[in-house]
Amino acid sequence: MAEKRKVRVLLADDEAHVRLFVKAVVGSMGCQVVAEAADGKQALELFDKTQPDLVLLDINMPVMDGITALTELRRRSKKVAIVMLTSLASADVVEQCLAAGANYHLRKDLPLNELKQEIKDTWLAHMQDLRSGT
Amino acid sequence: MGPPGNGPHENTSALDAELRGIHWIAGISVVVVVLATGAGTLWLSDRILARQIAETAEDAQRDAKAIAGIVDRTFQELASIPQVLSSNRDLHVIMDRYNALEQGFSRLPDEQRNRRLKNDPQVVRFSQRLTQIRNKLNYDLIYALDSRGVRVVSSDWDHEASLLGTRLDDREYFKEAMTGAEGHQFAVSRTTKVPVFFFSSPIEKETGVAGVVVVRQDIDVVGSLLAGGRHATLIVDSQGMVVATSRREYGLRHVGPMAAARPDADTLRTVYAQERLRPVPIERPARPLHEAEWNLNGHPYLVSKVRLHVSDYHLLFLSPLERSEAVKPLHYLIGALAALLVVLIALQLDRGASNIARRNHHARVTASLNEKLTAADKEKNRFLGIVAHDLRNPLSSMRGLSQMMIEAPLEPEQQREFLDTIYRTSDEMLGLVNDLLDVAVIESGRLALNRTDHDLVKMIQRRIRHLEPHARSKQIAVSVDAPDGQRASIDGPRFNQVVDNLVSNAIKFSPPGSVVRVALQSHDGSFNFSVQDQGPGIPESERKLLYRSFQKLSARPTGGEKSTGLGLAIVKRIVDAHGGRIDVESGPTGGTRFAVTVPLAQGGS
Repeated sequence: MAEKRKVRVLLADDEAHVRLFVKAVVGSMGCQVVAEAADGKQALELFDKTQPDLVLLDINMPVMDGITALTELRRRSKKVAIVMLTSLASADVVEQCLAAGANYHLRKDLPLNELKQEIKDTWLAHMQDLRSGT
Repeated sequence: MGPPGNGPHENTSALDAELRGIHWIAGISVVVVVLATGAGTLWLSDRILARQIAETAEDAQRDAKAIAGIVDRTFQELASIPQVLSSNRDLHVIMDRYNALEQGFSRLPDEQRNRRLKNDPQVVRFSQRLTQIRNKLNYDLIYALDSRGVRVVSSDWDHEASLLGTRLDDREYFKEAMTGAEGHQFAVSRTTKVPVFFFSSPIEKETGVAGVVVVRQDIDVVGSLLAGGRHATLIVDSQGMVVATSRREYGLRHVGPMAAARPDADTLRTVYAQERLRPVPIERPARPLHEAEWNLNGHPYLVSKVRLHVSDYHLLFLSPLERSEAVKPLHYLIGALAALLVVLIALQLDRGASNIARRNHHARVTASLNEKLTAADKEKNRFLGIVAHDLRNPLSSMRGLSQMMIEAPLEPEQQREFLDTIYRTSDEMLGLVNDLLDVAVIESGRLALNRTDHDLVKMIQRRIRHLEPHARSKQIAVSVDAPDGQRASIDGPRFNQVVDNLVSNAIKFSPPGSVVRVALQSHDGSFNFSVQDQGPGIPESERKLLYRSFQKLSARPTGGEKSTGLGLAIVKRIVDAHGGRIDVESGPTGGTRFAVTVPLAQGGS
């Protein structure tokens, strides 16, 4: 995927350390973080501005939470891949996210290599879906 | 997570009130029932006694009638003697002869009449016959009077003072018999001073009443017939005087309240030979159980009254009642046992009702405790969830960042950024862990204050100096308005936390370029420490959540600072422990003022 152009990523999390870490992770995978948001509202604004390929979205955020932002993003774009970042996700919350159109959910506390693998797998599955037109 | 509170104590006092109510009802019931039992016992005892007395009264009435029958027969026998003698021919001859003498004889002096009569062989012969009858039938005296009342024959004719020839025409029994009727009279004998009965009968002839036959009998002869011993029998005449009795001490005394009449002084002297009226000690009892109950000499008696055949005489039969009174203590004992039984039943019921009340109370207390425990458990789970989230997130970031640094060499600038983040994040975590430990200590009730004297102004200024870099980074000015030298007895490190939290909160939520005003005042033995910011303010709806652990509200730190949601919870508990209070004012247009009021010294407020 890196041959053509870098995957453009929007990162939304209210915690600076999470943003720094995830940014470094996706950066090391050859993706480009084009925007960072500290809440859901900011994420929507930056999405409109940057039109990213992948959104990494935290659930617990001030001003506008991740699930509200997810619903709103899905309304604007069917093509974008959205991965929810969770820490203590209950089955209910995961269910709710998938129903609202999230591609996947990621636990922020996964070991580094697993985290990378999960992001990669999710992206490839998303590309497959887009090509097969589903 | 708080302690169970003082609910159970309030419930205990409610239980006490309920138990007091039950004891009152039981107590009043016991008093009422015991009083009722007492009154019932007295009433029932009286009824039982009254019935016994009524039975005794019937027996007594029977006895009285039997005795009256004997007395009647005795009187009839006495009355029959003159009746029988009045038809004696020899007596008629004597009467005719002396009546014929008319005035001449009756006007002679007594001694001459006595001599003439003693010399009359017919008189002597008849008198001797009377003596024989008297001796045989045991009478006191038998004699006969002529139509002018002169005693012409007598059973004691040969005595020194035989009184043969005396005139007795003034005697009632004589006058009565001269009218042709049977006569009788009670009198104290003028000669012997012995109370006696006289029974007279007219000697009737075609020409009229020729004379009167009289038998005189000693009262004691009648009295000896009367029942004695424990009983008392009285024969009472129309004047209410006792003429015969089984108890000699009552002889010639008046029966007082039982009599319809009483003799006048003259009659008392002439007939009864009494100087004054001496009543028998008889009176109505205070609470008679029977109409025939009287007290004699202070002892209860049943008095049966029987009319005798001799006109105007009554027989009073007094039977003692002591035995009936003796059962009263037994009745009272039974009544007391019944009352005791009632008391025991009441105690048992009281205990039963109290136990039920206690059980219900304990069930309520258990339910309420259970509710509190469930709530506490929920709070604990919420707490754990938040802690896990707030600790795990930064830890996983730190682990990830350091792992990346280990795995691949980084640009110096990026390495610095990573290290800086790791340092700040671990510092924030340390703050969170410290706050958590504080909350744990405070909420477990182990917050022991170490109060010492402090210069408040110096203390506040020292804390603000530590916070100034933070304020400066946001271009926020912190102003302090405090009088110099204000001192108070407080726990220094704990109160530092109060100042730190309130001032740093104000800086955290203030827009850049604004002013945070810190003020200190004192009045009425308390000091007031307040922090005013120009932040967004706190909506009314969020104010009651202010002091709850991990309660992050809608306002966000303006400089991206971290907030644990524990600061105000800790402040509130420290202020509470100092015996003070915390107030918040916040206008709708923004700006919040927290004010802490704390007594200057322990127990000073």
